[in-house]
Amino acid sequence: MRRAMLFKSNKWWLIPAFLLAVALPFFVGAYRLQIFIFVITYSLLALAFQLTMRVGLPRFDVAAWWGVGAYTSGMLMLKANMSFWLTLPISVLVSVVLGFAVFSVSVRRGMMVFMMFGMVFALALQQVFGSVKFFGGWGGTPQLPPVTIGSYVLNDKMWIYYLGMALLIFNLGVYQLLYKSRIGRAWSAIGSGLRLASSLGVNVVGYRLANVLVGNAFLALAGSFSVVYQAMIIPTTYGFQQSIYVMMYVVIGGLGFAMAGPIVGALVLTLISESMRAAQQYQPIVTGVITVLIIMFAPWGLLGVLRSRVVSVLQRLLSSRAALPDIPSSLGSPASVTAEEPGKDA
Amino acid sequence: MALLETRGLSKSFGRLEAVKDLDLTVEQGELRGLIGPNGAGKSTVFNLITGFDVPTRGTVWFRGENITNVPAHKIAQKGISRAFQQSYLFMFSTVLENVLVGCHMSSRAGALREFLHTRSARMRDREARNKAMEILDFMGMAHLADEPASSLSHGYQRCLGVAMALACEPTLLLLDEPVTGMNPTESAEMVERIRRIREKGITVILVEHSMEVVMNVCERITVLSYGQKLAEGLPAEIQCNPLVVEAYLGKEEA
Amino acid sequence: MTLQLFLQILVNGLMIGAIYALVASGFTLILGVLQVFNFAQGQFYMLGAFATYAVASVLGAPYVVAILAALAAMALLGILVYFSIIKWTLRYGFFHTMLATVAFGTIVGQAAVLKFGYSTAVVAAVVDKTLALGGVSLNSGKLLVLAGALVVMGLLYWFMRTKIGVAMQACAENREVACLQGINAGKVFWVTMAVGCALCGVAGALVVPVLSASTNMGQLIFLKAIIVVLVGGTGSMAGALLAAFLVGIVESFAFQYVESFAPLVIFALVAILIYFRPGGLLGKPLPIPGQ
Repeated sequence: MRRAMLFKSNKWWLIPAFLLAVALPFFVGAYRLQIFIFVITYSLLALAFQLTMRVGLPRFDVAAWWGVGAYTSGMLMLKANMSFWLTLPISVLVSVVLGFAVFSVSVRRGMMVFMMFGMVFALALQQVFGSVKFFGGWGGTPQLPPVTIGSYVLNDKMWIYYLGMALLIFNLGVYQLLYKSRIGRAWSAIGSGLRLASSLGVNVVGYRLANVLVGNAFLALAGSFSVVYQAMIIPTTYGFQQSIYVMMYVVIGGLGFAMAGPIVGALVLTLISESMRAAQQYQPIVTGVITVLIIMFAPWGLLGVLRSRVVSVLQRLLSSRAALPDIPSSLGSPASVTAEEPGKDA
Repeated sequence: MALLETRGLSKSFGRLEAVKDLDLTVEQGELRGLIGPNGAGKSTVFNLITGFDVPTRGTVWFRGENITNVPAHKIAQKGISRAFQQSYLFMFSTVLENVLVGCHMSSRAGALREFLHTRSARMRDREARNKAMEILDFMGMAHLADEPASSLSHGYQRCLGVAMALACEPTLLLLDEPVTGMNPTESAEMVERIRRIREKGITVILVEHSMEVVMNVCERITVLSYGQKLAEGLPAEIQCNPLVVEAYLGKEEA
Repeated sequence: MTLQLFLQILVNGLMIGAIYALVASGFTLILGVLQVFNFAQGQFYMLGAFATYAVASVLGAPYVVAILAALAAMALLGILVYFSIIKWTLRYGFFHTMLATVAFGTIVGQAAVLKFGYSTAVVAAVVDKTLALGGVSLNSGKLLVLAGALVVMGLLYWFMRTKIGVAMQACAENREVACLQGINAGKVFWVTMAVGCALCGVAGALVVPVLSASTNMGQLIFLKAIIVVLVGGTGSMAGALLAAFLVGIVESFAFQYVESFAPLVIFALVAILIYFRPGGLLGKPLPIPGQ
C-alpha cells in the first residue's frame, strides 16, 4: 500500500517538465526547435502505438494512418482550398471510417492476424499514395499552401511548436481520461488476460476495435499536424520503416509507461539520431544496437531502469518491505500475449 | 425448465475425444458436483458451457435458450460466470481492480459519460467499488483490497478468482477446483462460502478433486469418465456405485 | 492473351511463388516452433543473395558451390542470432523477441546498405537460353529457379521426417508436452533457427541470377511472406506452401494488368479471405474468446 502511494505522489516531475517544455522555444533556435517539433510528432505516433499495446495488439500500420491524416489534410488544402483547421475533423473522420472498414475484418481474428493484416494494408496504402496521379506520385505532392490563422501565416517555428504541444497535451488528457475510466479498465483487463476478461463479460473484440480507432483518430491528427511544417507530402515518409521506429521509441522509453514511455523514447532516439547527423548512415545501426541492448538488459525500457533505481533507493531509505518494481500493468505479462492468442495455435 | 442443459455435447481434439455425448441437466438452485478421474473432461465441459471452446457436436441450453455458439462475453452477460482452475488473475493490478473488472457489466454508464467522467459515471464507479468491497468482505479479504494480486498467497488467489466471478452477478456459477492447494482451514472456509453463495440463490456447479469436499457440499453429483457420464445421483448413491468405484480404483492401479 | 504471354506470366508467378514458399516456410517454422515472429527473415534472404554474389561473382566459384555457401552461411548466422539475441529474450515473451528481431533486421539492413549501397549486384545468369516448347519460348533461368526451389522443398519434407524434424513438429504442437516427452527444446530451437534461416538463404541464392541482389529486397520479401502466411494460415506449413504459389501467380497476373496497383489487389483478396476464412486457406476457423 505504501508503495502505491509513493508512486502517486511521484507526479511532481510533471510540473518542471511542463515548464521546461513551455520555455524551450526561448532557449533554442529555429533549427533546434524543428527537431523538437519532430519529437512531438513522433511522440504522438508512439502514444498511439502504446495505446493499442494496452489491449495486447502491436500495430505496424502506425505510419500508414499518419499518412492518411497528412494526405487528407494536404489534399483538401490543395484541391479544395480548404482551411487547415477545417481539414482536421475531416481527416480524423476519414481515418476512423477507413480504419473501421479495415479493422472490423482483422481485430476479431486475434493479435497475429491483426498485426500482419496491418502490415499488408500499410504496404497497399503506400502504393496507392505513390502511384495514384491524384496524390502527386512518388515524388510527393505539389507545394502545400501555408497554414493560416485568420490573416496570420503560421510559419513561425515557435507557434508551430506550441500548436504541437497543445495537441500533445490534448492527446495526453484524452488518454488519461480514458485510462482512468471503465473503458480503460476493460482495456487493461484485455491486455493482461484475454480469456479472463471475456469470461467476466468484457466484449474483447468491441473494446479492441474502439481502442484501435481511438488510436487512428490521434494518428490522423498527428498527420494533419505534420502538414503544418512540411512543404510537401512524400509517400515514402509514411512507410513500414517509420512504423518500426515508432515501435522502437515505445520500447526504449518503457513499455509499461503509458504516457511518459513513448515521449521519452521519441525524445531520446530523435536526439541521438540528430546528434549523429555527421554520420547519418550509421544512425539506424546505432538505433538498432541500442534497441537490442535495451531489450536484453532493460526489458522495461529506460524508465523501467529509472523506476527500479528510484524504488530501490527509496526502499533503502524507507526500509519498506521488499518489492520489485511493478511490471507494467498496461501490458501484463508479455508472455500471456502468445499463450492466449488462439491465432498462434492455428 | 432446467436452468442449464447440455444435449449430446461432444468435443474432440484431433483423435482425442475429451467429451462424448454428454447430457447434463442442472436445475435452478442446485449445488451440483462434477467429479471424475484426471483427464475425464471436466474442465472441457466448463469451457464448452462458457463459450471458450466450440463443441464438435451437441448443444448447450441456458434458461431455455440455445447458447452453443454464443461468444464468451455474451454468455457471461447472460449470467454464467466461472472461476478458473489455475490462479488466473490480472496479476499486475490490485485486488480491488481485479474485482472491479468483474463489475464491468453492471457499472455501464455509456461510453461518452464514462470518458468524460460525468456525475452518473462517477456514481456508477462508486457503486461498483462498494459492491466490489462487499464481495471482498464476503470472501474475507477486504483487508487485502489494495495489494497487488501477484503478492497474494495461493489460497487468497483462489478466493479472488471466486470473488471476480461473483462480481458478475451470476445466475450460474462454475467453480473449477476451488479448494485445490489450500490448507484445511482455508478449505473449510471456502466450503462454507460455497454454501452461502448457494443460499443467495446462485446455482453452483463444482468441479473438485477432493472427494471429501464434494460429498460434503453437493446434493447431486455427476461422475465423468473419459468424457462420458458414468453415473449421477445423491452422494450416498455415488459412493457405493460399483462403476464409480471401479473408475477411481482402476485409475489408481494404472 | 496469347498462350505465349499466358505461359510466361504463369512461369513468372510460379518462380516468384517458389521463392515466397521458401521464405514463408522458414518464417512459419520459426513462428511455430520458437513462437518468434522473425522480422529479420527477409534480411537473411537478402544476405543469402549477396553471399551468392560474393562467392560466385567475386570469388568466381561455380554457382552450385555458391548456393551451398549461402545456405551454410545463413544457417550459421541463424544459430548465431539465436544464441546471441533470441535465447536471451525468449523469457520476456512474444513481443520482446519480435522487437529484438526487428532491431536486428534494421542493423543488418543498414549494414548492407553501407557495404553495397543502393545499387544492385548482378550474378551472371546460369543459363540464358530460352526454352522453346511447341512454339512457346520460356525463360529457362526462371524454370531453373523453380526446379531448385522444388528440390529444396523436397529436402525440407525429408528433413521434417527425421528425428529432429519430428521433434520440431512436436514442439510446434505443444511445447510443454514435447518437453515432457524428453525433447531437448534448446537444441530444437537452434536447429529450427538454422533451418528457417537457411531456407531464406537458399531462396536468395536461387533468385540472384534472375533478379539480381539489392539491399532493399529483404524487407520487400518479408512483407510478401507475411501475405503468404496470412493466406495460408498462421502456423500451417502446407498452407504456407500452397499460399505462396497462389500469391505468386495472382501477383504476377495482377502486375501484368494493373501494374503498380498489384499490392492493392492482393490486399483486397487477403481481406476477403480473412473475412470468410479466418484460419487462412488450410487452417481451421478458430474459436476466439470474446468473438
